[in-house]
Amino acid sequence: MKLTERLAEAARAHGVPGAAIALYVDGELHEAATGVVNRDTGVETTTDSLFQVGSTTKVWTAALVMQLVEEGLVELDRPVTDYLPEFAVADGAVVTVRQLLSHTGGFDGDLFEDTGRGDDCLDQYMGYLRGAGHVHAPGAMFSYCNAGYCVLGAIVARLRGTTWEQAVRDHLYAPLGVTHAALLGEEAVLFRTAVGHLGPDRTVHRQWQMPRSNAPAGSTMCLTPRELVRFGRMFLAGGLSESGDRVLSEETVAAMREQQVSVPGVSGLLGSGWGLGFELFDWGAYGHDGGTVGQSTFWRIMPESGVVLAMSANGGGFAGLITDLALPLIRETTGLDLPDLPVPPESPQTVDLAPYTGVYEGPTAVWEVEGTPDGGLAITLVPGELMQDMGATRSTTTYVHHSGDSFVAVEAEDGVHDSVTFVMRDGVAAYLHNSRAVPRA
Amino acid sequence: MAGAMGQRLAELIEEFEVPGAALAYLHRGELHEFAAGTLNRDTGVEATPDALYQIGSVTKVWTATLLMMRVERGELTLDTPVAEVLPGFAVADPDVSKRVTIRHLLSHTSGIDGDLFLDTGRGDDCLEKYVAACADLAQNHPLGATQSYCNSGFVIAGRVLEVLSGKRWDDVLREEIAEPLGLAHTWTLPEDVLRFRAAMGHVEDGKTAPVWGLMRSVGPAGLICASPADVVAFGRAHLEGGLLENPRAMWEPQVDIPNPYTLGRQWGIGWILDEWDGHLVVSHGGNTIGQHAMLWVVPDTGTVVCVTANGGHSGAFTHRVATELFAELDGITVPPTLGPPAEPVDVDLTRHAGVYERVGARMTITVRDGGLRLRMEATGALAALQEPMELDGVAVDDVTFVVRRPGEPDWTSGVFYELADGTPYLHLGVRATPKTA
Repeated sequence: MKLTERLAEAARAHGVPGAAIALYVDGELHEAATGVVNRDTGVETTTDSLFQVGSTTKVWTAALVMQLVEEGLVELDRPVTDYLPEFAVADGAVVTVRQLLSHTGGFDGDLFEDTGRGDDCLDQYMGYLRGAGHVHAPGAMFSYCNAGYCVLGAIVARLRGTTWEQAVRDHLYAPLGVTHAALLGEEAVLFRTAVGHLGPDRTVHRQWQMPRSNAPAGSTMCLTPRELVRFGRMFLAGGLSESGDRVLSEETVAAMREQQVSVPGVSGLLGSGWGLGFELFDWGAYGHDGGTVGQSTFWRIMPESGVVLAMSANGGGFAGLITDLALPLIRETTGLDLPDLPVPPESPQTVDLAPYTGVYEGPTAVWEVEGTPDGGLAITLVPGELMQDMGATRSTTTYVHHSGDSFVAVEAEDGVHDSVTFVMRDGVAAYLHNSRAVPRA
Repeated sequence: MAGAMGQRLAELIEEFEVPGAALAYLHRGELHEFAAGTLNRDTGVEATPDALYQIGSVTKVWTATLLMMRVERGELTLDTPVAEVLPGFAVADPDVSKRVTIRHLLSHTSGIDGDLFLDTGRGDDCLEKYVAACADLAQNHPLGATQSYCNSGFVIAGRVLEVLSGKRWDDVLREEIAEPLGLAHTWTLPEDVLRFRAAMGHVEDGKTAPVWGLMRSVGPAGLICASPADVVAFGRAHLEGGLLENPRAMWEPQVDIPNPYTLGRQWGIGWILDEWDGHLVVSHGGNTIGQHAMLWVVPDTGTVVCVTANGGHSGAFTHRVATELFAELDGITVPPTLGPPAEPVDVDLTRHAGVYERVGARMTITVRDGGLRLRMEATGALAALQEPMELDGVAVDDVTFVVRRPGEPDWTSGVFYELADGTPYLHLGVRATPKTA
């Protein structure tokens, strides 16, 4: 299989400083690592190196919530306020636990307020969240919501009487047998731990970790790809750990994979639907992806073939690593007919652009949508302060019509064409949808 | 040795069972850096000169320097009572609460129980909470009466800095020392440290320590992580300027150390003062969970040395490095660690027999057939965690004895003495303990 060579080659091709991959196939674990965890120190990546796994953490948080459901301590369709009386969003909407798990809560999700590194950070974040703006009516649609997962983490912490971190350790890491993991800096420093690299020069990002307030949504967890595979295998095994300990019930595992909502737009790297925590791919997989500042993770579980793949990197073109290595590996090991990622049609259909043009505004950025003379859309991203801090700059991307109300970028980035779709109301776009529903300003 | 130091360091870590070490020194204006071994036996990451080590209590000199910068700016004086900056400040003794000054804290003369290792969390309020918890701290000795090593006092001093500046201690340190001196390899929080090669402590049998570091609340007393070169640059600023108008004010002796054989003869402000071959030497050491660091500054010759190690017989190791290095660089003989006299001395220590006790520690001295025996036990919260230890002592003179822990290359000394009011004390492990029975 020459996994190491293939990983090294893909990393080289896409300017990735360091990467690691774990692939479980036919009952065997294959692992590889390449490059360095940190370009400043030159410390080499090994298969024991930890990477920030970003939002794949959401499935860990979802599993913790589902354990509470199994124990009868949480009901999925009860309002969040039953468990966290202080929970409130700006418009006073009633949001259920299920809606948070499936990203249908309808409030601003990209709120990364830093409430400190102390154990009270989630409680303080709940106070901050009281101002979270309205996006859509609860349950009305999918709109990726980090903040919702912070709330879920707060429910776990409250009902377990501890911190979210300690709940992860006690209720997931311990029964699963996870050893190469870190949630806090003082744990990560024990390992060869990756730092994020940013920009074309791939410089080491100075703020190693995002705020702890967003930990249950994915700001802090660090794992080796092997540990994500271990977690994935528990789902394949109907909720049993490698050593046979029950982590989740079979019913729970099935429920987490059951689609709760479809994701508007063209199916690509993002799932076509969402379960309870899991991103669902209609070609026969579930999983989740994750990104922090300068680090990325890709994680897929293929239930039919029993294959699990996890891959992380610390900068450069991660999408290229996915298209060049991860997707081909899945095809080779599962025989699944993975659809190609969306590309611009050879002769795009001409559509009336007027319903789509305008300005859309989210908490982290503004998108200005204009028609182009040759029938496409020019979408200008105007990043807010936070996105600027993460390296984003004002940029315009040209899209052509793909299908329905979806458009695909003319140019590829690391081999991937971005896509965007519009959610229509009465023939006019009410939302620009790019995993987040961004309301028309 | 200087030329072949890389090789010599590798030999010495072997001899003293140190997993990894680094050395930086400034000599005749030039910086030299060396490293040997591994930073972490679990990961196998190689030690390099730019790796960060926990420098432990060397941090106290940095905290003291930050306060002296404010003294020079006139924001307070060394004799400003702590309670003036921290309203409501209290320890167990109400009189001490009112009268204890910055000078007491920075010279370890407050008498306040110094070994409160209380974890008040990871948050930015950790010092504030720690200082609030000091309200129960008892006295080892009356205010100003002698010297007794006091970690708690440096946490309190760190909180004074926070209140004066309105910033976290970590930020004050970064903005007022690390950044002005260009110390890119000096950090306090693990999430910053791990962007660098970082040493892990190793404990029994050379295994990695169970946890990486101490609780954040003791930061100003010992939580800096730095490369030896950065520590040397800090020491250099005390010789050549860059932080203080008059760094020598910190070398003014504040108190004699009753046991002059352990770290030095006197305490200045933050610094420990000693004399080697007629040269003033200012220094500080530090120990954390399996990590050790030493910083020596010799003003006469302008030599500054920092050695760090992450386990093994690290104290004996850094002493040996200093002994070889100072002999070669400056022709200075580093005093050997006090051990048993070559010829047994005929002294009677019977009058010192009895129980010596302060918060958290009880030492019982028995003298039988002319031989001294020391029993050390932890009391209070740590009693259950620490087995009592009994060691045979050897008399050095009529107030001094040495003991050696099993498996340790170096001896530890104890000195019996009296306060001005005649109260008998034992000075051991840099702490003063009164005779209670």
